[in-house]
Amino acid sequence: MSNLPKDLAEEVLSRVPVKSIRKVRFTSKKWNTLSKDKFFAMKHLGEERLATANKFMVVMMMDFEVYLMNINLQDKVMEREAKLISLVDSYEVDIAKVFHCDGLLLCITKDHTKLVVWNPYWGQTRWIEPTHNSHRLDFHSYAGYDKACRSYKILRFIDLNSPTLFVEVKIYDLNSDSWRILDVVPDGKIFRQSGGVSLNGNTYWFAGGKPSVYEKAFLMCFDFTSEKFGPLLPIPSEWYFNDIVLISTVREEQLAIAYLHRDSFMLEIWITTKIEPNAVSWSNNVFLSLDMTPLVDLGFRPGDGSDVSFFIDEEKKVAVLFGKDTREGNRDINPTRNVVYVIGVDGSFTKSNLGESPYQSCYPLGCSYVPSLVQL
Amino acid sequence: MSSNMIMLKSSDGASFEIEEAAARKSKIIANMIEVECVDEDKAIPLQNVTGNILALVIEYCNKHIVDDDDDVATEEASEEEEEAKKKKVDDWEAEFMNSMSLETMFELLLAANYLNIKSLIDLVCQTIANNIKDKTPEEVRKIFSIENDFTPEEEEEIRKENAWAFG
Repeated sequence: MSNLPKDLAEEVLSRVPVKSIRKVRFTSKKWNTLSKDKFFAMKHLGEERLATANKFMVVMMMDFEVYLMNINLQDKVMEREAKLISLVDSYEVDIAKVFHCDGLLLCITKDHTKLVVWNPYWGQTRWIEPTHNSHRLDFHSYAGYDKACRSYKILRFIDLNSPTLFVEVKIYDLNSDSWRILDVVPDGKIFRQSGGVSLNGNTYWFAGGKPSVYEKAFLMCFDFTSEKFGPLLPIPSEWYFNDIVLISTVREEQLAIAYLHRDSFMLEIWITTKIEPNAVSWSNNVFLSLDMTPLVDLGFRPGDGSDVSFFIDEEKKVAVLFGKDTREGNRDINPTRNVVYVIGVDGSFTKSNLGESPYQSCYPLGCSYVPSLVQL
Repeated sequence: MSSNMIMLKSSDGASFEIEEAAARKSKIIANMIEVECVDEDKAIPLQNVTGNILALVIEYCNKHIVDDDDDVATEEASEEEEEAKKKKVDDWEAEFMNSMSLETMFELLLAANYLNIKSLIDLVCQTIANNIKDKTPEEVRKIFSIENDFTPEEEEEIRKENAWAFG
């Protein structure tokens, strides 16, 4: 191809799947330079979007390893595309948590001592020491974008497992490369086990609030521009203590929430029609409302006090839930097998095996992933 | 020669008869026809395309002209029929590309570029790109006859720049 004209070479290289572009960078100086060119990169991402129009990409942590997965809802196929590897021997790759924001993945190492911000498109990583208290296993981190300073930031807090609120809230600015203590107190208690998601640069969680954190659930936002927690926002449907609640994004535009009522095994999924740090409105109709008893009988277990992930596709009218399997035939087994369920709003479902897992309590954790050209 | 057939002549002197509608897949030939540069008795000389490559180009154009006709005839076709048809074309294209070596693909790409056949350029580029994705950088260099011009230090530097990867 050395004799291919430059524009034809670019046509070919821009069609190499995003995950393989690294190989192009290693071939020669010329191609390395080309792959870093902004216009080439934009074309490359555009081609990728066309080629993967029928699928959506999910980054998953399973058994402390990070995978890129392709979910093709048309054919209900789930494929492991690739696995996180390090080209530098001294960098560890055992990861306890992954959080996605604008194509950046915030990873917490398995031993909870380091934070890593990674842009898989460029391959770049930024290793961040969580400063003091790093020995604590109960710190939690989320990434967001400050629209005023045009800077990515990391929110980190230490949260005691009690109705009392945070011990410490800190924020890290990637531009200035420094931590600051934030003097903010949220109105509610964040349900960490329900996960948090990034939307428009801010993070949203479920939170318990007045009269008591065990009685009512709300949505709550951390606004990375004002560096403040938003007010408690109402959610549809009644929540009872111990019901499983989960949060997800829809097309990176709206939020979806799922409730699994523990008593009735009813699963409900609702979608927002407007969502901002201090305002929410919900679609009048429930997206999905199903009795999950048949699946529970089959061993469906969407996590138990752990982070769980779900995704929905509005057009195909399906929800995707990750979890562990607890049944084999008629017999209970240890929840060691990671599984994924594709559940139609009509009640149809398929179950796929994601493989045996040596860790009973390490539930598969996924976040939607959209490649971006953000530089670290 | 019937009025809707034209002749193409390869760089090594081989002549091919092709339906005008199929030849119009090439923007260059379509333009020549528009401005009436095409002499009915004379073949269009294609200086940059050899006979074996031109045969492939014509095979591709013939296949796709049939598909385009079908589209017009069955405008009311159901979604499933559309999908089945698309799958048939995809399967044909996969087999078509499968039958040739990488070297041939490069020549076909140059020809498609010269003749300006957008859909064929797309197809060949995608196939070559798919060929790269599972190869090592060393294998990629070989395919594209590229020299490794990195010093060991520079290679180490790139490794650090791309420290974490989906592999």
